[in-house]
Parts: sequence; C-alpha cells; structure tokens
Amino acid sequence: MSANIRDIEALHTFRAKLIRFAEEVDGALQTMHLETRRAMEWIEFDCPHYWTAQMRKSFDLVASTRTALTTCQMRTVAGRRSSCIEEKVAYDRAKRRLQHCQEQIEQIKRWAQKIRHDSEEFQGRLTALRRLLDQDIPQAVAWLERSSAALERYADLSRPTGNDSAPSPGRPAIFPAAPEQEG
Amino acid sequence: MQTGNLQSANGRIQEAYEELMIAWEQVKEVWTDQQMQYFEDTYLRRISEELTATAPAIGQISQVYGAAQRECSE
Repeated sequence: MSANIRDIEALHTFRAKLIRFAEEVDGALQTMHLETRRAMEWIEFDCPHYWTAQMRKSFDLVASTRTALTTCQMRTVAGRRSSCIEEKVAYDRAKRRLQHCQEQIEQIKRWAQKIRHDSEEFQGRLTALRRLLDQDIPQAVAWLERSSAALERYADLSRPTGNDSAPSPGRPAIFPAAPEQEG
Repeated sequence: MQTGNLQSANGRIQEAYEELMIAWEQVKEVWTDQQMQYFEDTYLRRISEELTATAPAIGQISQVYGAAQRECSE
C-alpha cells in the first residue's frame, strides 16, 4: 500500500487533538454520571422526604383548622351563631393542601419508577461512550503512533544522502527532499 | 437537580468534536492515501456514530428530569 502524506507532523498534531478530545468527553461523561446519580437521589430521597414532611404538616393544619371551626361553630355572640367563614376557608384550604401532598407522594412514586428506568437506559448509552474512550480512542491513538513512526522510518530511509537530491528509484514522491539537502 | 448541567456536558462534547473534525480536515489536506481513509472509516466513524447516538439520549433524559422537577416540586 503506498503512502501519500506530505507532513508527518500533522499526524502528531492530530494525535494530540484526539487525546484532548477524549479528555473533554471524559469530563463531560463524569458530569453526566454525577447528574444522573443526583436525579435518582432527588426523586428517591429528597422529594419523598420533602412531601412526607409537608403531608405531616398538612395533617396538623387540617386538625387545627377543624378544631378552630368546631370551636367557632359552638360559639354564640348575643345569642347568634357565628358564620365562621374564615375558619371554613382555612379548613378547606388545609384539606386541599393535604390532598395535594398525598397526590404529590403518588406522583413521585410514578416519576421515581420512570426516572430509574430512563436513567438506567441512559447509563447504558454512557457506557457505550465510555467504551469509546477506554478502547476505541486509545486504539486510534496507538494506530496513529504506529503509522507516524513507520512513516518517519520510511522517510529517513528514503532521504537522499550527500548531494543527491534526486528521489531514489523506490521512493515515493510524497516525501519531498528536505530543503536543506537540496542543491 | 440541575438538568442544565447535562445539556452543558452535551455542548462540551459537541464542541470538542467540532474542533476534532476541523483538525481532521487539516490532516486530510496533507494525508490522502488509503491509510487515511482506513483511519477515518474505522476510528472517526465510530466516534461520530457514538456521538450521534448519545446526543438525543442526553436531550431525552434532560426532558424527563425537567418534567419530573416541574411536577414533583411545589
């Protein structure tokens, strides 16, 4: 197979770029792994913890507003019962909040399942990307190293000695004579 | 949970890939044989395929996390 390369240094430069690319992807991969883990922790621990605490508070609020309403309803002012509108509104609001918290807890269970499933799939995709970094790119770098070493050896062998600037019979035109050796 | 970090990681990969491809185009100006073609077909194509498959996956998982965040927060 004949070679056609005018600047072997370009291979070295590209090899360095490839290594730099792998470093960037590696950094991005680490960020994505971290974010995936954070998302799992958020939905499996932080969210349930938050909404369970909110539900407890809501239970307490329902109890206290119900007591306030009952107390109000038993109260009479000048022989008349109070309408207790504010207490009713507070009690209804507390009940709605409790219901919202209960719904959120159910919602979180569903999302936790989906996030776990989707995150595992995503991790699988990241594993393929990791394989690229651990296997394919090192192989590519090694291939470039071998190729440039072989080309350099070939160029050295092909380089004319003394004042002979004419290409040797088997020498491909791809390796021009070094300028300092010409003339 | 910050889904923006996933997108910025994706951006970082895409940017690094674009830089790599620019460098590769420069290499191709001085290297034009079958070996170059082999390298491109074997290694660079694999990189391209992996990134092509990864980018939508990042977008998709970001959307899932974002939706979960909206629906499970206050």
